[in-house]
Amino acid sequence: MTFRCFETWISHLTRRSVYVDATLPDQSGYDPVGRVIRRDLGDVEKVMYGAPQIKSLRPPPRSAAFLRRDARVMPRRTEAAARGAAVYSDMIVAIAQRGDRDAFASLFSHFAPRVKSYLMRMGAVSEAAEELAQETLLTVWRKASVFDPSRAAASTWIFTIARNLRIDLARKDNRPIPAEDPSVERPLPAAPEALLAVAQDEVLIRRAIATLSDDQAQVIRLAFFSDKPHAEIAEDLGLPLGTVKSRLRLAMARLRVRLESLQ
Amino acid sequence: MTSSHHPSTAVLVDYAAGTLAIGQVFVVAAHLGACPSCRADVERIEAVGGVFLNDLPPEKLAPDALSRALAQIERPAPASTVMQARADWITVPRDVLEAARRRRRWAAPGVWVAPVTKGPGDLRTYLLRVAPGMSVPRHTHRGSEMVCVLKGAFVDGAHTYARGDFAYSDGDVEHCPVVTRDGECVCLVAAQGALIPRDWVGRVFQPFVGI
Repeated sequence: MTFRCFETWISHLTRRSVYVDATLPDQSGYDPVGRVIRRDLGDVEKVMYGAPQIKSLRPPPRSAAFLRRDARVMPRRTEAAARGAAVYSDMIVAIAQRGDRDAFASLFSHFAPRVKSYLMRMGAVSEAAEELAQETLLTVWRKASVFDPSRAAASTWIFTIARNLRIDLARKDNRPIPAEDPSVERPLPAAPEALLAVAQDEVLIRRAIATLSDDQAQVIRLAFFSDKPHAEIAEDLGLPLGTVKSRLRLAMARLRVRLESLQ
Repeated sequence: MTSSHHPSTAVLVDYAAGTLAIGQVFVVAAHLGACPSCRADVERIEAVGGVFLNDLPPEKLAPDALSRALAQIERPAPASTVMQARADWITVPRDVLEAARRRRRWAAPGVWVAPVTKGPGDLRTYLLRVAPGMSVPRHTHRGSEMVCVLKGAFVDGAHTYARGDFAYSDGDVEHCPVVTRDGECVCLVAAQGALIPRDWVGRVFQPFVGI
């Protein structure tokens, strides 16, 4: 194999090594600071969640102080690791093309613990979160053929699957839906390709996120990880609703500009 | 009502992050099906969600987690929330069409209502059909209200809301939307709290309509 330049060669190496290591969760990509922060956060979570006793999807109460800390200490991966993340897309493609169980095992080891972590932040107790994380990865296997690596990063696709399964659970809680066989059916709406050329590239998204102010990044993180709509986040942070809304609006405007100018 | 005809960024972020109530998810999803630019916004926000997911500290799984997953790998997928088409409407989540088929009831001359979901709290999600040229009695809301026009159009003050448009209003707005004369209007509505009628027509009809 020949490489046009040094960078391509390096990125090839990175991709390979991540592929090999991915069976062992979380081998590379965090800087030393990131590791320390992550261990601290783990302890915080043990204290917050403790041993789960009640089987419920409702979250244990969390203080505004915890939310603020949570938003601050989330570790950031290095760009090199993000570059390696493209390998997860290849694994989903391998599952689609030849039912590759090794690729599935690697994906599972990387994403299932993170999906579980996400669901616990959204209020699920440990067992329920693990069940839903299982279901998320099984859905990845079943729907691998509809995954389009030119449209979305693997992590984005898996995030939306986990989120939709959570929504489905809420839907079933509300009212039982009789099973049927509808003739015309498609998943929740997806964007047209022209507008999305950039969304599959995790590196670009990371760079765009890095340009947000701390205030903007904080409200976006909280929107994702606190099981609360923006109105309640505003309450928890003791901020006027209008302030949270305008931070979200400015953050999105910046992401839009950053991602569009890179196209 | 806001005049933008699209959900605010804050609502799109709540949708992408999965923190909206299920009924509100249906209303926003119906709009997204008809609006490429909001869809692109949502996918950008989802991409941020993917990055956050990747950065989360992994949570310990049961030791047999992977082998259990591998054992179930060929099991068929359960039904999930999907969009479904109907000739004369924009595409909507399947539950919404179900409601139109099974739970439609005439509430007043020219008006039918079909409840879609109830809750959490006092949130009600329903389909509302109003005949051409008719107006919804003057009313205000106890809480917020999200509306997506599935068919036809209505005029509210200076603004016209057509097929696919999204409207948001909260408790401090008093209005009486009027359906345009060219055809019936069907809307998907997720409203917090009951409507508060402001004139006698509304007061007479409200107990029958039940919204």
